[in-house]
Amino acid sequence: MRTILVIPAYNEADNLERVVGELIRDYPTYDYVIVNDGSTDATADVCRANKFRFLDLPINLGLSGAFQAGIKYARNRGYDCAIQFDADGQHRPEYLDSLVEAIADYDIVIGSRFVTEEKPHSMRMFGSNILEAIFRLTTRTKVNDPTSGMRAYNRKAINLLASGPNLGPEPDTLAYLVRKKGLTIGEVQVQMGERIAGESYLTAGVSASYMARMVTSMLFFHHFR
Amino acid sequence: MSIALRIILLISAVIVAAFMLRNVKRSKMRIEDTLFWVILTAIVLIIGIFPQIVGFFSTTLGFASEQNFVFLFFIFVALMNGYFTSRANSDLETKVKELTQQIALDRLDHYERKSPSESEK
Repeated sequence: MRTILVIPAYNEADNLERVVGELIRDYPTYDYVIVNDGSTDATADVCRANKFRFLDLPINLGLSGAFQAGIKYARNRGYDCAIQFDADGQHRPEYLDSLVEAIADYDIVIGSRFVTEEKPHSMRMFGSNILEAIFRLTTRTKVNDPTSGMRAYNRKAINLLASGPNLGPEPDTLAYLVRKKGLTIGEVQVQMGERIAGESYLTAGVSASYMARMVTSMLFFHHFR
Repeated sequence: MSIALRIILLISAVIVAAFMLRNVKRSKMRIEDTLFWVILTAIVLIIGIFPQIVGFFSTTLGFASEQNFVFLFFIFVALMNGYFTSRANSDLETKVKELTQQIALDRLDHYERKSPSESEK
């Protein structure tokens, strides 16, 4: 199965060399494509200097547009499986094999932090629980870790995600694909690390508008899509 | 409808019309996009010149005063315009996104064609 890692990168110059270097060195069976999302730092220079394969978006589109560019690449080059992979070092490549293994049985496989392990109690996990509940309510599918950013998509999912608006790699898109397109979702247990360098963009305001968007999308808009 | 309100309507119609003409002349706006404003100007002009029309609708629909009808009518028109503007904006965002992605894809294609040894990694 031809598998490609789609690695969106916005201002990840400090992490990219290490994260992608490790992939190339230790996991050469996986192709990858970095999507430089109009970074203002040296991300593109790092890619060029290391001869990384990367899509260079001329302007910043945000995660959904950047990821979709990578998915387009995967579709155009005929890959069977695309895996969404973070450039900040949070996603561990040792779990890639188990994701690919599971994609034989499902259309989408989530690298989940909470299949066999307990969810901790925090504000962030409270949000995760709400999304999980709405996800189950609207799709009748249980997903333990809807916000995990480590996901594998098969060719059917790739083709659906490759063009059009409102298809960002977020829980509401997964719910839409399950509910309206009949895709199946599986989960495999993974561990996630802390980010190596840089700052997470997840502030209180961002989280609140993220939750508002997810909830209205899943509870309301999906009826009409 | 008071004389003052009629005068305000007429003056604003003239100003809007002048702005639109200037925009088109300076190539700031496509003619098809000024259509809304041109029609709006025409309506404002007609209302200013023939206030009987407002009187008719106001009485028929049971408004307390003609001014109320004028206000409500233009609030409705403004909301409609806001709606169409945000829809057009959405369309543009989608188009910009698709174009950006295509540029990046073409860039990589172009780069890999220039250095074929790199493409078969």
